[in-house]
Amino acid sequence: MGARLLGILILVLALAELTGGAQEQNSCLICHSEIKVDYLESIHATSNVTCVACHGGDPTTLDPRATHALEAFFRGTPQRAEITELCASCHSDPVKMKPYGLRTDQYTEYQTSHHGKLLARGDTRVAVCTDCHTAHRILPAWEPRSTVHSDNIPSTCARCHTQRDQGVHSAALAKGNTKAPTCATCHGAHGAAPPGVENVSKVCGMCHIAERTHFESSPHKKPMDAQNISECASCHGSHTIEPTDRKLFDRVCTSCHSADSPEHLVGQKIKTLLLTAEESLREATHLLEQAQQRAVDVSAYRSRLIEARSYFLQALPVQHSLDIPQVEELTRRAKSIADDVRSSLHSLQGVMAIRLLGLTLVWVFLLLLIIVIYLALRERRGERL
Amino acid sequence: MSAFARVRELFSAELRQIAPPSVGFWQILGGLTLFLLFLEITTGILLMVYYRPSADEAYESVFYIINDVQLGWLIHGIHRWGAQLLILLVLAHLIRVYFAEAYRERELNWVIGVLLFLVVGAFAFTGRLLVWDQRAFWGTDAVRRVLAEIPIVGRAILYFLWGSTELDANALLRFYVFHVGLLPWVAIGLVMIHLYLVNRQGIFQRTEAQKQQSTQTYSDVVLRGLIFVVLSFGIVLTLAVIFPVELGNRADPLTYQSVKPPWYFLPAYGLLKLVPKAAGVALASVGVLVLFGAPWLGRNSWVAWGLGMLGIAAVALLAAYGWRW
Repeated sequence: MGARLLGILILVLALAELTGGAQEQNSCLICHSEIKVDYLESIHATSNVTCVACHGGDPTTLDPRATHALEAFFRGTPQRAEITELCASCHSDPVKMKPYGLRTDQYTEYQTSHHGKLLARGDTRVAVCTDCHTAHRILPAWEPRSTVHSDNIPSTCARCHTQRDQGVHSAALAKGNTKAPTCATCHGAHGAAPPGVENVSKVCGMCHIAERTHFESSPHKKPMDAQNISECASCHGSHTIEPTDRKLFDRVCTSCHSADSPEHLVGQKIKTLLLTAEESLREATHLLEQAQQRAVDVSAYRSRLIEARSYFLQALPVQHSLDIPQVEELTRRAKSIADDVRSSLHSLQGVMAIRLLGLTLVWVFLLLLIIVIYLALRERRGERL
Repeated sequence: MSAFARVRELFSAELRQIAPPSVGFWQILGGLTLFLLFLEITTGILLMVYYRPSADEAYESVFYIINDVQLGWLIHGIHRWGAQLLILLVLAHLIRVYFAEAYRERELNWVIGVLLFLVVGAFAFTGRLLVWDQRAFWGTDAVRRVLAEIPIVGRAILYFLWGSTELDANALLRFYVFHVGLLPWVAIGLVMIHLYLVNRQGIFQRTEAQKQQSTQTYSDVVLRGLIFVVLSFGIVLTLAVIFPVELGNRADPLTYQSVKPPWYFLPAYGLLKLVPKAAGVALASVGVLVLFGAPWLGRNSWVAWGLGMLGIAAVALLAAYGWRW
């Protein structure tokens, strides 16, 4: 009985092995096993795009000569200069890409990129498709292990470009903020090119819409454009953008305006307005948190503080317009609400005093109760004695 | 005679009975735990009025209780501080009974006492998750990770307590059901048996000399106990007012937070830090079994004393290790 069962088991396993063998049409991987793990993980493997699609050859035989024969259109490792065209042969074909819902304009974009232009001139050191996407372990961009996933783009670009972002954007990205911009957000992906001076504000303005709008109406706009000064980068930098700090007014304004100039005073005025409002907000928030920890009801003040914070947040982009009355109005509103909340919360500290008073009264009652019980005990004892 | 009058007569008769002279301060601990259990049930019922046991609403409802409900912060504070004092008093009562060897000829009541001790621990464990803040979530999840590593029975225990192998809304609901729907009844049942056995077997007296003529009745004992009941209520109230319970950030399953357990779980935490998790659970289980079997293991007074001191030293050292690391 046992032997029969063992026989059936061997038969089943053999059939499974045979079936598996039949499914493996890509015999290249039998010899090129070093690529197997990478390839099988790739999106090409799951989409049944086999080695032949890029390298040619005959995968149906195990004879090395026949598989690598020119008659079988064996291409071997594609030259760097031909890689983009090779990838484009499928990825620019709408008929082939339609089932996967993929766009087909990457190659056209690439040709307009700095990479593409240099490649067209015969410089094969520039990035081609495989440099960013890898050759065999091509993963979809949404997959966190992919070299073109937003988390990994900085390290992918850094393989060739030494200038890495070391500012707020890369810090936000490192903290796991998936909305933070990567190299590709500003420079483009397939159409990668350094934004020209005239385009910097447009690139930054893709995300910082309000800042850009207010800057457009500022007195800075015309002279900076005329002198070809980079709009956002001249104050904030490009790859080393620091967190926005009011001290920026002290450092940056003087690089163009003298310290005693009226322009510098405008900057100082805006700085003071923002700082005072920010300070009031910080103190009110601190008091609110303190009161909350003491289980004091602060729900009404919480919503008021949100209102104050929203005025302050509105003032931040408005500062780019250098419109002092507008900044003044918004910061005044933020500050007055924050101060109002602050004084109310200060008076709430009295709640703790009331609670302590209540506690003292309860203790007086409890101690009286203890005295009464004690007296009752003594009386009972006295009665018995 | 009406039923009320009959119950009153029954109580009066009990209170008029002569109590042993050895019944003093330490015997009050048991009565105090009973009062605190009553306090916990009362405040728990009040909290149930506003609490919502779903992952979407639990945190918000606790926040609402603390910040918006009239005196909600006080009820919540009394519930949390009362629980701490209850655990402390149950522990003190257990140690007192053990070192007084009051378990002699009362083995069944000792076992019920230990069961009550475990039930109080279960109350604390299940109640902690209900606030659904980061500390509660990751503290409970640490226990889940320990249970998941127990071979064979680990997953079964998880499915029973958590409802799945992950800590999610199902687990919260289950913990709530255990905390308010099951454990109170178990506790009340055990307390009633415990009290019945105390009444039936009498209060333990170490020597014959102690059984001399007594002058105090049980009504004196109850009155004296009332003083401590009032005092303990005052202490819980003071703690709740001066140190209101802080609510952490809302539970976020995607943001890990390292959490130290509360003081009463520190020995178990220390043990699990010291030895592999499965071995730690096995050792803790052996410890509980030894606690159950104490009356039989410590038939000799010296052995009982040595075993007790060894147990207390081990628990204290493990707690210190858990607190340090």
